[in-house]
Amino acid sequence: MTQSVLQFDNVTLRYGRLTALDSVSLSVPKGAIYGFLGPNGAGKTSAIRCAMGLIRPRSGRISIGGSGVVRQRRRALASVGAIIENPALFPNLTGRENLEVTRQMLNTPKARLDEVLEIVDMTAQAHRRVGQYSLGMRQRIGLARALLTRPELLILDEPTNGLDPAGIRDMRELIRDLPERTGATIFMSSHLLSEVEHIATHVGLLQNGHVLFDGSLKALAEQQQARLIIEAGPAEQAAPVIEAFAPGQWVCDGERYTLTGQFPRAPQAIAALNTALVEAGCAVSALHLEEADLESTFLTLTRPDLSGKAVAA
Amino acid sequence: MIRILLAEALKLRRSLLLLVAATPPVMVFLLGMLIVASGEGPSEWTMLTISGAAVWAFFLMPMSAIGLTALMAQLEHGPGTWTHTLGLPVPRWQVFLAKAILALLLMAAVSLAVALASWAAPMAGMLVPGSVAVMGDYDPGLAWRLYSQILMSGLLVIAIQWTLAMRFRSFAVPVSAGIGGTFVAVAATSADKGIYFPWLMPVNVMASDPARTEFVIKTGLIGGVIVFALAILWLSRKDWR
Repeated sequence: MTQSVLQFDNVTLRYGRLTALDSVSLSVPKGAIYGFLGPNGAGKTSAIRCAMGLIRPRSGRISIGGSGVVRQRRRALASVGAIIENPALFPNLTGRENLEVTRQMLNTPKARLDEVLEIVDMTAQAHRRVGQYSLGMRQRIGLARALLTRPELLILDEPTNGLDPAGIRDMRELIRDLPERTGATIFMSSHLLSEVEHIATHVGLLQNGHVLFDGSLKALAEQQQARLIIEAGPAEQAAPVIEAFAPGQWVCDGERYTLTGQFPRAPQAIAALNTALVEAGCAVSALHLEEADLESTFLTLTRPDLSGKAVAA
Repeated sequence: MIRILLAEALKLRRSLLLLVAATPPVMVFLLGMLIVASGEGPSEWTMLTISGAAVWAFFLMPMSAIGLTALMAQLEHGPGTWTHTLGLPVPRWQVFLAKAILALLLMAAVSLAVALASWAAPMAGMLVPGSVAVMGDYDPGLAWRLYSQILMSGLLVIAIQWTLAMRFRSFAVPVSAGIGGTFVAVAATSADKGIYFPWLMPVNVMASDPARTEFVIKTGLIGGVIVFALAILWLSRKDWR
């Protein structure tokens, strides 16, 4: 059984009448880069705040390294580094002084400052005031601060938020290398699906406070549904052929047919469909198989009719 | 605990807070110097010491409490700052206790600076041609007693301002409460029941009735400690969304 660094067990959180998290259960395996996905307002930051012991859930249990966050907060958080929302830095202090504030509070060795500045490649800029930093530099100092205690779990809430494309790429590469360089497990929230798809090994999908999926990216990929796009006409000849090929699995928009769900995907089967359409007198202008990416899978999973149904993996 | 206190002190480096802390002694110095230089104010050391302390107790001390506690809290009210500070594996009550101690140390330092300014101002004023000579001897014991008693009786006001500043993200809440309290104090200066009003307690240190002085010192001190303790307990247990 894989060892879990962060575990949510049936966590429910309410703000008055609003249910922010509804029986959320998920497990972050040791060594993973876990992408915590969901649209804005899904409950990602609330879940992270619960994990950091900043909000007490109404029910359920959250544990980090086996220690409960509510009852053993200090022990649980001793192995955690985090950036929640924006990296909260003091603009009147330099980058190094900002790190020193946290270092003093946590009583970590002074030499660790240089190490973390080196990891995030901010040694040269550390003497400048944070007020003069770009957002990307602030994110790096925030990351350096989160690494001060050599955390086993690094929680990053929307770490690329607000960064320009170059900054997003740099941060992505930095995060991707972190498990190898620091040994930390990474729990990273994002609403940018492409971000997570590039670097995550595991994902959790959250919508309206419900977990729709929790598992490895590989397991999610197995659930991804391909689509077959056919452009053929006239409709009276094409439709019977397509219905025979994939009964009830297609929709039509003019002369464009989209097949989803259960249909034969082998190249020979698709070639046979093409032959059948031509033999039926159809003019086939397009026929191609689209493999679904994480985004389309996410959109499928978060369709309103699927809301609230957890997918086991 | 000392580490947390040092970390909290480091946060103040290059902040506006230190500028605000320097303002009351500078104002007292300029005011005292002008009074002596013009030759129109009190020309006796005891009166100058008491009038300097009165300005501090009545107006500058409450205003300093507003400014210092609000600016200190605003450093933490920035986006995500509380989240970071309170997400660290340190006891939360120690974080808030360190902030409270730092606020008190700052107020004590400003008190001391104002006391020194009220001594230095007449000395500087006497150097101006046409000024009057200040009669009598400067009594450091009187100054020490007045300023320490003002600080003790003002502890309740400091605790109230600190609590409001820590609790509310908006600068407006502690500032309005502090300014409101000071203005009510001006209106109620001579009222009998004034000694029960936190903003009037420091002024009543200089009351001619020793019982009033003793009452405001005890009430201010004990009330301040209670408000600080309850606020620290409450702030360290509340949810931080």
